[in-house]
Amino acid sequence: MSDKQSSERRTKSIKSFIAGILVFMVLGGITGYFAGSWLHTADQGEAGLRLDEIGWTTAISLFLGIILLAIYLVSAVLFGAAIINPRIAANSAMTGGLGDGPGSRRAYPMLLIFYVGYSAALAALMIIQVLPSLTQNMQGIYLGAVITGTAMMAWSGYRLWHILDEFFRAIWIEACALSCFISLPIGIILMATAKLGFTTSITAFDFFVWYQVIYLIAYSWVAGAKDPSMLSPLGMDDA
Amino acid sequence: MKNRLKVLRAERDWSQSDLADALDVSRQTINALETGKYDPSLPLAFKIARLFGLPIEAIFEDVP
Repeated sequence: MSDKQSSERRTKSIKSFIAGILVFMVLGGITGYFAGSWLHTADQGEAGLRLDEIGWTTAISLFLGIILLAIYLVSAVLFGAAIINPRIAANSAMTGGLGDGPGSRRAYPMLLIFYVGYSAALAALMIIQVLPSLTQNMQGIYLGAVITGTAMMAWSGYRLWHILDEFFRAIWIEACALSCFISLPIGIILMATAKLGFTTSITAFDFFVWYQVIYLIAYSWVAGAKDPSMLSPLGMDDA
Repeated sequence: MKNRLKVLRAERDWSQSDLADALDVSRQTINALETGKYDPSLPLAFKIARLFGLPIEAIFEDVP
C-alpha cells in the first residue's frame, strides 16, 4: 500500500473513530438523563423501589447492570447480523476484531448464543435482586431463565474455546488474569472494610457487576494492545 | 521475538488471508505475528516451519 493510500486510510479511520465517540457521547447523555431522572424518582420512592431499601451501591450496580445488558443485547444483534451480512462481519470494530474469515464465520453463531444467554441470565438476575416483588409465584421461571442463560453461556463458551485460534484464547486468558488480579484485592479490601464498619457492605450482585465492568475494560486493553486493528472499522492492512 | 513471516509470505505472493487459511488460524493471528504483537505457540511455530519448508530458527529469531 502506498504512503498516500495509507494516509487516506488512517484519516478515514480517525474520522470513523471520532464519529463513534460522538455517537457514544450522545447515547451516554441520553442514558444519563433518563438514569438521573429514574434515580431522582427512586430516591423519592416513586419508582416502585426505594433507594434507602436497596442502597446506593446496589443502585449504582443496577445502573451499570443496565448498561452491561444493553452492551450484551447489542452484541447479540451485531453477531447475529454478521452471520447473514458479510459487510458487517468484515467490520472489525463491530465484531470484536474477528472479521470475515472461515474461523470467524463458525464463531458468530456461538457468539450469538453466548450473548443471548448472558442477556437472559443478567436480566433475570437484576429483577431478582432489586425487584423481588415481581418474582412472587414465579420463582421457577426466573430461576429457569438464569439456569438456561448460564447453560447457553457455558456451552457456547466451550465451543468458542475450540473454534477460535490460540491468539484469541491468549487474549481471553490475559484479560481474565488481569481482571482477576484487579478484582480480588478490591473485593478483599471491601469485605474487610465493610465488616469493620468503615464502608457499607456490598452484595454478591454488586461484586458480579463490577467484575464484569473490570473484565470488559481489561479485555479491551489486552485486545487493543495485541490487535489495534480491532478498533478500526476498516480492519487491517494486508501489507 | 522477531520473525521473517512477512518476507517469506511476500516471496510466495501470499496475502495474510492465504497464509491464515494455510495454517488454519485467523488473519488477526497472522497480522499479530508479523507486527510482533504475539509470539506463536510451539505447535504453531512448527506448523509454520513445515509450511515454508524451513527450520524454525530460519523464521523466528529470539531477541534478548
